[in-house]
Amino acid sequence: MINVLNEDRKDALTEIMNISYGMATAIISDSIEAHANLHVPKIHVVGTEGLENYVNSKTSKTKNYYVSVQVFINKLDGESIFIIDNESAGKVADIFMSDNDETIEDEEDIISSIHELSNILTSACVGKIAELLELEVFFHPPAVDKQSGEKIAEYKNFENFSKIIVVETVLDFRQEEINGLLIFLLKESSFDHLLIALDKYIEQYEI
Amino acid sequence: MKILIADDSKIARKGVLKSLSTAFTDGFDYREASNGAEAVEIYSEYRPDIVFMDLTMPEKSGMEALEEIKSVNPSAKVVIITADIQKKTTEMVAELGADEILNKPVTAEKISQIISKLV
Repeated sequence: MINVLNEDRKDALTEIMNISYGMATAIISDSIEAHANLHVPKIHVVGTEGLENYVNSKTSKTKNYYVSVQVFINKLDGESIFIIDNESAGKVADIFMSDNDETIEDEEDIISSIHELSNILTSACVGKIAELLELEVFFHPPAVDKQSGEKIAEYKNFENFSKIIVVETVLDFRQEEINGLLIFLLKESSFDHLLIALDKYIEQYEI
Repeated sequence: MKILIADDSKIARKGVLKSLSTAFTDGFDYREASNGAEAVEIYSEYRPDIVFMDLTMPEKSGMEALEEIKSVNPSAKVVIITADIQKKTTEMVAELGADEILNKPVTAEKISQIISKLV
């Protein structure tokens, strides 16, 4: 996949996502009263073409996945898609449930945990970008669905969007490594706003 | 004053540098490292008065680099700058001997306060 950002903008976006992930991790860590190891997320910004191949390369056809979709609107207009495999989703639910001295009873518990995790991650990342842009962004609640690995890349119609930010995530709570893909779909005008925000972020550190 | 700035993010290093330039108009000497291993290596030969170091870095983490720098020189002044704002992380880093911990993004005011306190 070809990154559409130059090195400086990519570095700035990675740093912003790093700060956002620090905030998100702290929120989760506080709520489950457990420390997490923070990993810097890997960022790719690409056009809509080629995303299907990329998602296929990061997922397995033999696994099942939970997919959480969350819409955000205003001048920053787009959707986030959080993809997490069954095994990692189970770990997330186990961590969230055990904190309340509960055990996983049914799939609804897993869906509820993924709903919570994806909401925290999306709010932290998009919220931070919105803060840099000095504009408000409104979030719809996430909708979580289950998909087979074979269908995962076909899950979404990307035609309404112009650019895609892929965030490869590793969340490491209680020695449980949780892998996920967080994808932000942006419309062209929102991507232009993002570029303005990144340039502003870079400029503030020019000496 | 000699300063070492260690962060795998170029923009984060520029952020610290800008804050330092704002706080210290008389100038200062500095080196940059883009990972923990490089930070330890540069520390040993450069012997800065103060180190500003990120935690999540490739090759060698900030925690490992902090531990090694402190083993080379227990009185080394090391300030950790991190996006990880968990209490436990703060405790772990303090246990390893960090002199101060700053949350990202840093400001000139915070950097100035820290340097006045440590150097």
